[in-house]
Amino acid sequence: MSEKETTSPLERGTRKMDVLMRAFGMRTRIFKGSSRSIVKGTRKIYPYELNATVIETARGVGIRIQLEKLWYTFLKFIPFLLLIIISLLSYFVPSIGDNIASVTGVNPFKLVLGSEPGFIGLWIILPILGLIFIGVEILERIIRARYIQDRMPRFLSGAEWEIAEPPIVLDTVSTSSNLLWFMYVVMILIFAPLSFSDWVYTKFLEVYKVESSAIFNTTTLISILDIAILSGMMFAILYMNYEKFRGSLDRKQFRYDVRVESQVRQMIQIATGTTILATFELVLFYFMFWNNITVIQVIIFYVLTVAASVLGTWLFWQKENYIFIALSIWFFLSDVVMIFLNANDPSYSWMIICHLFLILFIVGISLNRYFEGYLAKKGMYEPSWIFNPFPFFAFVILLKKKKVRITKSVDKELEEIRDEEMVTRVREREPLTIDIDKIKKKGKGADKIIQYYQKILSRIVTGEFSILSITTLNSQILEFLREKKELVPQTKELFIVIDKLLWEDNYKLQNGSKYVKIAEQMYEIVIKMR
Amino acid sequence: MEEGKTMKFSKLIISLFVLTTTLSTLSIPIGVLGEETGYTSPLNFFQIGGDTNFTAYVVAPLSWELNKPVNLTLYINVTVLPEGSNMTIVSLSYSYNLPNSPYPIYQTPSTPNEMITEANQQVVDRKILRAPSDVEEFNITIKIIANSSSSPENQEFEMEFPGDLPYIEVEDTSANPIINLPGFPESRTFWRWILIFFVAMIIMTLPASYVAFMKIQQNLKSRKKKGAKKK
Repeated sequence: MSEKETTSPLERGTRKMDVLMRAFGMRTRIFKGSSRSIVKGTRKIYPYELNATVIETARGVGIRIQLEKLWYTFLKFIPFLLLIIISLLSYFVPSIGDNIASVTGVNPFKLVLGSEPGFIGLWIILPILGLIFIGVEILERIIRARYIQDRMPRFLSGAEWEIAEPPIVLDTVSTSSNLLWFMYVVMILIFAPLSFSDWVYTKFLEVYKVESSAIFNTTTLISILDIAILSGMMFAILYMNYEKFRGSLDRKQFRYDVRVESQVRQMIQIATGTTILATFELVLFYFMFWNNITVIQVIIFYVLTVAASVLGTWLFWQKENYIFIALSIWFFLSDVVMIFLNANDPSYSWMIICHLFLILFIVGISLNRYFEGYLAKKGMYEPSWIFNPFPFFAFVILLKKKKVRITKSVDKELEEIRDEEMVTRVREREPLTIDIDKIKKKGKGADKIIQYYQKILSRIVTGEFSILSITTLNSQILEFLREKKELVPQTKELFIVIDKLLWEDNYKLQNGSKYVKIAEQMYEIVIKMR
Repeated sequence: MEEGKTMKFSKLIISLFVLTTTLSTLSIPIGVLGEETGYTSPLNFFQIGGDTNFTAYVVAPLSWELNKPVNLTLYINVTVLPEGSNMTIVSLSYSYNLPNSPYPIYQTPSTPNEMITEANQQVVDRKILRAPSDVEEFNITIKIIANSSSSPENQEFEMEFPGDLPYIEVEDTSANPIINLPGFPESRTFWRWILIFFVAMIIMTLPASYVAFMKIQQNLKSRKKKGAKKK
């Protein structure tokens, strides 16, 4: 580092805050004042703001973290709100859907809500799910802000940066929200023909020579398997990307007593996460598409989701794209099996056709990976858009074409700051050489004070001193004075003066004789003690 | 040593393979021949118009495989035919008699309409038939409708196959087709669904299409630049 930079503690603190915020994947802006500066961090793709005010005080640099634009989180409620509105319309004015169905053959209400939705259940579960997603995200942000607030002073005073263990449960819930809507789209695709109006649907059944209930049961069963495997594997992708995004920063803090082998830990986290996601899916889809789900199917759903997530994690370690290949293989092989099953039971006919198209769907989704590279070019390494059915904020940011500082260099900058701190620490440990001639110029009696100080120190320890040893010795001397408490304030004053004599270049000593006396007294006490 | 062992092993496998393929290829013509020869039913004697005699017999296998075509050949020989007179075979009809059903199953009749003018002339009718489903055994009734110059009205003659044995066996050894590939749903359902599918697909792949769009735009721009430079 050049000498020009790293001057005042305020500037250093601001720079550290800036680097740290960028390490969290934020776009930063800095406002500087004489005694305070504000670092504003904005999440790049999913916008919310974090303000860090760095203030210079007499005792050092203080910091205050504030959350801003929390209202963005409430945008997550929009899809829930839409569904609630549609379900209300469908319940109170079903004629709208019927009229559209008589013209187009597709009842939009049935298409979106399933052919026999449980309205009361939906009205209860949709707000609850929405509030869980919003609440969890707000809570997560508050917790993260608190972490920064708590750890920042130590970080600013030279301690190595450590972020606390991420709130795993909260993290997985917010990861789930993208996937829940993705799975919802898949469910609509699977169940769409079963919701078409009668004059279309009867013909559909005639062609395949199936009864309506048979095709419904089979479609439910296969969709349970599909959703379980899709959500398990895709959860692995999303969660691992979040973990990559947070980088090594978060991982350091994992408590040692609960530390499992890191890979096992990841698997366990993802398995718990998918269990939560599976619960959300089950609860939501039960009132929409899976009306006739059995207990055994529920168990199958949970087991398969967790198994798929573990398999997905393992595949992710090999290569991320293997997961998409595995998904395509699942759709293809299950298709082959269903073709054989179909010989005795024609109710599989629809899912065989549907799986063919779902393979295409998976291929389409896997192409979205290219978007990641495109965002990375713009300096955005944030996975919040992945599997989002409509990544609105990502597009807004891209279309705005804002120039952002690239996050990639953050690790390097953090490393530089650490190196810099190491240099100062090494200097603190080096043997101290005192230039008496320089000190003499600082005032009358200055050299005498330092000489007494030297004598006191040599009484306590032998050998060389460094800055670090002096600070510990000072506290030890204060310990000796425990019995003569009246001397403590004087001594402290003396230490400050000595500090300034040793290191402050432009210091002028006043009342030198007073401090010489105090030093003499101190020396006598130390002689008596030792 | 080990190499030698593996060599022997591979040789063994190759020879086994060759043996099985030759055996299986041999078995095909044997099967075909077996079908061709089949079983010859006893001779039936018929008389038409008091002066014309003819015989008929059928050659066909005694066990029919389900869902497989079987060759059945009917031979009619005119033994006695006075000079100057003739005989015409108008039609030949075949019907299956199932053991527990009073109604016979009629097959498409053949109408040779062949006029026979000399004795010892032969009429051959080859049919390709299939065994009836859902039964283990059955027999065939063959009706010959003929007339002659001495009795110009059509007369009906009946014979049975296999004649001296009660039934033909139906073999159900060959499995049912185990693959039932459904076609696409009929167009009414399908185009509605495919529309929904494409809408979903477009929404889900928006990020990918955005990248593709930008790449194309970039390429066009760079091409224009290159073109300008050349000029």
